[in-house]
Amino acid sequence: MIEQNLKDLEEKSIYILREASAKFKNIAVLWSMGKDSTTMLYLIRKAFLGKVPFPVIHIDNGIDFPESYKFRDELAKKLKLNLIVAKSEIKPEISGFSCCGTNKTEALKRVLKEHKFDALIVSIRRDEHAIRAKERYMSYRDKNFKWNYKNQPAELWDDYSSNLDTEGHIRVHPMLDWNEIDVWRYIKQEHIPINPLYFSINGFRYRSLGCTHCTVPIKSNAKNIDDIIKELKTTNIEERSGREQDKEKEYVMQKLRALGYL
Amino acid sequence: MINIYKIVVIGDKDAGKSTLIGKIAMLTKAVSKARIKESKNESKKLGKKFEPAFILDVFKEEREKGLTIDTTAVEVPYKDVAFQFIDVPGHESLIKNMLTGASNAKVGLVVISVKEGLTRETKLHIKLANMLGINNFIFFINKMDKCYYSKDAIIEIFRGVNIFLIPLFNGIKYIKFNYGSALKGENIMKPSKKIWWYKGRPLMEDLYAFVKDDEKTNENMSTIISLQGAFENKVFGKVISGDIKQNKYYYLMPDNKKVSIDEYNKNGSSVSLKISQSDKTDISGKVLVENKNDIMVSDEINAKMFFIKKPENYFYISFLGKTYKATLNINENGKNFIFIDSIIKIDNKIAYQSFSKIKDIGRFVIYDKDLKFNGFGIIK
Amino acid sequence: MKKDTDIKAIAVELKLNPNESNWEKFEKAIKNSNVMYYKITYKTLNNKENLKEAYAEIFDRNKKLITTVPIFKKDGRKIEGATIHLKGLVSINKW
Repeated sequence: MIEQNLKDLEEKSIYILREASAKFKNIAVLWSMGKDSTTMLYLIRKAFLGKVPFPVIHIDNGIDFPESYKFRDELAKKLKLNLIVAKSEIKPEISGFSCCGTNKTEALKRVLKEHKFDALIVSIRRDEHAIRAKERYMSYRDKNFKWNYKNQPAELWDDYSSNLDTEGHIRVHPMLDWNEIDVWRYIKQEHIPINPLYFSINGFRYRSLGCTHCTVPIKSNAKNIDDIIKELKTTNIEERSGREQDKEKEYVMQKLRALGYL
Repeated sequence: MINIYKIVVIGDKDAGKSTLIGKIAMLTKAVSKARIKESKNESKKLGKKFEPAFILDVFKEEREKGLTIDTTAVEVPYKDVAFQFIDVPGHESLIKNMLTGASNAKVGLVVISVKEGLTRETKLHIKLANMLGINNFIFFINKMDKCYYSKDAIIEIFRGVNIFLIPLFNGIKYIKFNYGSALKGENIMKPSKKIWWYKGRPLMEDLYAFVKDDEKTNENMSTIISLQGAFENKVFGKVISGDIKQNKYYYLMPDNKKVSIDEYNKNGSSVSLKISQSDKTDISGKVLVENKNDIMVSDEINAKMFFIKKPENYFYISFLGKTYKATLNINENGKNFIFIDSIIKIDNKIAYQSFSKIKDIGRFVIYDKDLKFNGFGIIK
Repeated sequence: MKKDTDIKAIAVELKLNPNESNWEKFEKAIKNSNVMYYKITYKTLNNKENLKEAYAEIFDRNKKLITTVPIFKKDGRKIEGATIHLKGLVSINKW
């Protein structure tokens, strides 16, 4: 795994975050208590004079890890976050995705509509999955959350002008260029608090966090960040291999993205 | 910490770009075994024979149609650096995706099929890449296996490319020719015995030599900072040249107001500033300069532009993150995919510089009347 | 220190009536107690009714099973997940 220059990555992410704040009136941040979205909160603080000046949304299906809930409440208090918990319902879904997928999208749609958010900061990275490798730094979603993956906007140089259709919203992806190992190196450098689920107990840990239903732990003895970084340097397993939903075909994920699920 | 060099891979749709990148990714073991396995399974299900290009063409449509719809960035480690290959669509209809992929690359890798030669589309892409700011190109003549690796086959192409490159707008610094077969893996990582008449390095070695030779582009110039917007009592921006000095006077342009920077905070070139200017409304798109002679101010600019759809008498441009209305005198019948050199009038004054002097403040994005992306321009 | 027997009693009440107030009692109970670990098991999860079939086992610091609790809450007619009330415990899920 390639270790990039953290200063350069940080600089670009801050630039994109500030561009977003200049362009959009009502921004929110999506937070799952995972390492990427938590790192995003700290990048936001760097960009905005030590504050998180936007509401932070947690899409909660009710069966997240207890550790995640504890982590959420403690960090929200520490960083004085404006936390919005949007509850999503577990529903029958035609494609078979029950706890992740369409019902999370519905909760997100509701929150966006209620608060009239015009942009959403999301912590996805290009290296997470082949489909995500096609994303833009600022990506438009229409009012039905459809991602027109066949017709993405242009992004020339560092210009992120986008379609000014008022009915949809823009997804902002400041961490697109970051690799998994870069995130951990940054976490170590900045002393960013991390969900304890990432660390090994009983010979198992979670490399990627979903909810209690769909996330599977991996065999590992990595007990701290240094161990995790060491492990990443030698691993061959893809990061999301513990997430049941990713074992579906790639094009199903594409379908999900087109529907607006993260 | 490794330096990553962006390489845009351009060329005709059948020249074999995706195959080349896919093959490089496999040979350098940049793509995980899991991803190769996934791609192999997918192609089996589609009843297709696995090709290295499938690793990149992850969109279902792309695989089934056999063409690349959008850009993919694949990172490949090589010796003590890394390359980020940006594979862009070759089809004219997907030109905006090609422009996006090429706009941030440092080197252009042009893939030419020995069977097709230098096509009209490839010429267009080279011209656009050069206009976007790329000065260094490697020409990889692919599919040499189809002509038995014969030297005669490449001579016409060689000549054609050199003639084509002469009048390009933006000055070419380095070019290199390379030959091989992406599918067969000939002359990519290692020299090929089949191309006995070629005494040069394999492709990856050439790329490596190119990027290692990359000179520093920023001369020691006086300070220019482009401004993004205001937040609380601060202003955000990007240092384009020079450095920030506290308690020094700068000029806010195009307003021509004298301001001082009272405090600043840097993350590389991303900066937050406390300036003495109290009215910060509408600060996006403006610049702070140390020396007024470094920039120009006007609402009329002389530009070289590329339009995807033929231009109409007015359109919009995005310059330093801000949108302006622009008008153009069109006297001839416009066409699609047209290059126009002309003066355009903007609805507000801007502070800018010519592209050849300072790229960051010498370029703009073009949108049509409906605010849909329609091309880009370079200030002369 | 809450005794195991108290926790078992609250767990029984919870299984009969997993409403908000019982969950709050449970959360308070495990705070000052021997309970350290949890393990959640699902059968299927196609809709929220399936939440009723899932359960959480809770263990003491020696990984001895203390009792099981549901993982949903029901106030009136509304059913939703309730894993938040296991806050403070540590997962020992192993598949």
